[in-house]
Amino acid sequence: MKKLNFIFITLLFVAFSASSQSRKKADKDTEEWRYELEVVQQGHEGSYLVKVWSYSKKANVAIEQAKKNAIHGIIFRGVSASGRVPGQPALTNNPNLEMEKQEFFDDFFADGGKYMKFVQVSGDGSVAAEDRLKVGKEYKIGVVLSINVEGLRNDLQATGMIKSLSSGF
Amino acid sequence: MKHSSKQINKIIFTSLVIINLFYSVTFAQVQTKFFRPSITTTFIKPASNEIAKVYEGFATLPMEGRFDNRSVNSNMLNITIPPRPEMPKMENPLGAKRAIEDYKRSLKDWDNAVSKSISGSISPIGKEVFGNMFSRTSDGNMSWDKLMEAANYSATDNQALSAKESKNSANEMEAIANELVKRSYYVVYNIKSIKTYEQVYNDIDASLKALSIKTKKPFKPTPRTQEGWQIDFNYFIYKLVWDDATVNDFGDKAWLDASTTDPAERAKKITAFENYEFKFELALSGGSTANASQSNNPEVYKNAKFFKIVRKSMDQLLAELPSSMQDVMVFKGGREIEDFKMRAPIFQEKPITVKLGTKEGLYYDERFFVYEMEQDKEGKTVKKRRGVLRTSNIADNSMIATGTSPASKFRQQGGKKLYQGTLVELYEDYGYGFSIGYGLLDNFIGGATVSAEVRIPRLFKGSGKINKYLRGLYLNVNASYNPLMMGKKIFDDKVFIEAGVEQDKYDFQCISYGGSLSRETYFTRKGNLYLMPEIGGGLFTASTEDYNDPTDGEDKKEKLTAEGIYVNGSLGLGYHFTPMISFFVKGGFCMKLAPSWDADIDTKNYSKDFKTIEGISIPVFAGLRFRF
Repeated sequence: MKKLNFIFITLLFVAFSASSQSRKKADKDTEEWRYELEVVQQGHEGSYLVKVWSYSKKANVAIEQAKKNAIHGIIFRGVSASGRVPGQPALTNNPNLEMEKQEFFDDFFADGGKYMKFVQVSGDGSVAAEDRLKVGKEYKIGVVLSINVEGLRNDLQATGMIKSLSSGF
Repeated sequence: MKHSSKQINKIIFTSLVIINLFYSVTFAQVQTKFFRPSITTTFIKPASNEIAKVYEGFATLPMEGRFDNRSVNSNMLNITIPPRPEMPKMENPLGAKRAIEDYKRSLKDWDNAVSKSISGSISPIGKEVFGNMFSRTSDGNMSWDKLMEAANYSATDNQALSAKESKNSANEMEAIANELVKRSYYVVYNIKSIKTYEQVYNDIDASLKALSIKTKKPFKPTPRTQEGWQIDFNYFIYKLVWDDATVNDFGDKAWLDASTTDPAERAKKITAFENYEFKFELALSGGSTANASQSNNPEVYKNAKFFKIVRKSMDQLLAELPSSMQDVMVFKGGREIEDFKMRAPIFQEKPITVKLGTKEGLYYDERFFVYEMEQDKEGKTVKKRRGVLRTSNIADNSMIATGTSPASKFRQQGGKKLYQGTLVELYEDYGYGFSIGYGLLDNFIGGATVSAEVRIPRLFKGSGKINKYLRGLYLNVNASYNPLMMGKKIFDDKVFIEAGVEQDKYDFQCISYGGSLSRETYFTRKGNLYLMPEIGGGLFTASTEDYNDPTDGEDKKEKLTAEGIYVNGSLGLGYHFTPMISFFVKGGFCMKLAPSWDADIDTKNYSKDFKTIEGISIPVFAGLRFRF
């Protein structure tokens, strides 16, 4: 019985450490904010459909991190126009905001953090075949996401992270 | 702001050009999406009543699920096709290379000549199809409505949801509709010859007769066991040219809708449409034979009532030919034409599901390759094969996609680990294969073995419940040859000693032939390994030409043969090297029954020999399996 317990605990430990390794990898990739953002379409009522290309050695990790990357892009980088679809400037024009409010954004982008409120996977959740690309030894995965830009803007204004349009510049 | 009709047309067709450009940039390198192609079936004017009857059969023949069938009234092309060049006979091997080059050149010339001839006469048919596609009314007005319906039906869940979430959902569907127009295919069949089986047998006999004269061997006529028809036919698959230049040209000159009210302008456009020269490009051409036959022995039908086998009339057999012709065209087209290959990404990994189903005409055990998109050093996207899948559970998705369409389940049968988003693409197999190997521990069915196999679900191509249970089932024809020099271990040593002969004086050879049913079963995630239980039976013979009968007292060599039936069962384990080649080992039992000596041996003295043949052995086999 003791032997069985030992095996069970060892297996649990191995599974846990493997999952935390994968999580660490994902976080490391996210910390580097390696992604590309492109606009797909203008959605309804202040939403935007964007495709975020994330990089990772593991395809599943890249998919997981796509949502964080997309919100990060909308806040700090903006999206350029594509064809007849207009672009979306960054919600902040302060290039140092992320550093200045590091504590806030660490919480905001934590796993299951507030960022989740403003993003959802577009379509049926599947990745299109042309959006799953192996480049060298890593994967470049494109996920189409619907971003509630208006909601995100209002929330960041309410918490004082960005100025409201009515407050003047 | 009110737009004039000319401006509206300009807007529609300019947007189509932009959509065209977008899609050609996105999908220029590797096609990753499937849009339902449409097929219009046409024929070269028949040369005989029988051929005309075969063509008539196409009218009621359903098209495979992944295609839209666009039928037309004027489906006969009044042209004459010159005979297709035949491969020259290679009498002088030194001149073979040149002969092949000449053949290829003449084939290309023939292709060009036929293509030119058909393209010229297919244009009116294109006009009729185009008119149907754009719901052209008697007053010349056209609309996208019908095509948009087809686009809605063709749209995947992702496309439907994307359109729903988009501010300009109409653009999404227009893009799909435009892709459907671009995938308008026209098939032209030409039956070169039609023969009854009697004529077929006559031709074979004539060839055999000529051969027998050449080889100075006696002529043996072919047994005439079948009745029915055999045809030799060509097919030509054309694709409508619908590029930016054509879209612009057609939009400017021939597109007409209710927004154009000026009678002079309308008349001009109607005339332009009537005279419009639709362009086509040859996508594929080929030739094949098709047969519809049955046994001509009335006895077969007397005892076959239980299985509902009825003797068909010659006309009924004739009616079976269109289906065979279409199968050939769809299969070959599916291998060569990118638009014919249904494809979708993996939706879920465990179990593997893909959003394809009855709408696309999936059948159980249909083979798909899985590809990963890879960016090469030059930045080009290429697809690399990662695995093989076969359909294991078919979802009914024959509805307009809303975002919640069910997905079909697939079973991986070899390759690497597959992830969500990897491309699943149809690569149908012939369903045939063979294996070569060696068997030990039973000399009667062992030695060098060869088997031919046919995958049963491939014959029926069914999506019904019964077909689900036929998955992975094979019908095999097996044969073995075991030349046992010095007669070792044919019979038990004891028997030979009792019979008073020295075993090592005889060269026996064992031959067996039989049939079996086997089933591939997969038990690992990647499916590189598979189990294959098999059950079967057949006949075996063991014979020697130089048997010295110890009982007759003469030193005279005679022929000795033992014959019998066997029943065997085995369990095999296979490993896929590639989708085509696998290695297998199998072991099981073989029960030999009712062996008998040939008549010229006094069996009474050798009754003990049979005991050594009868009974159960435990043979093992190993070999390579090839599937196509």
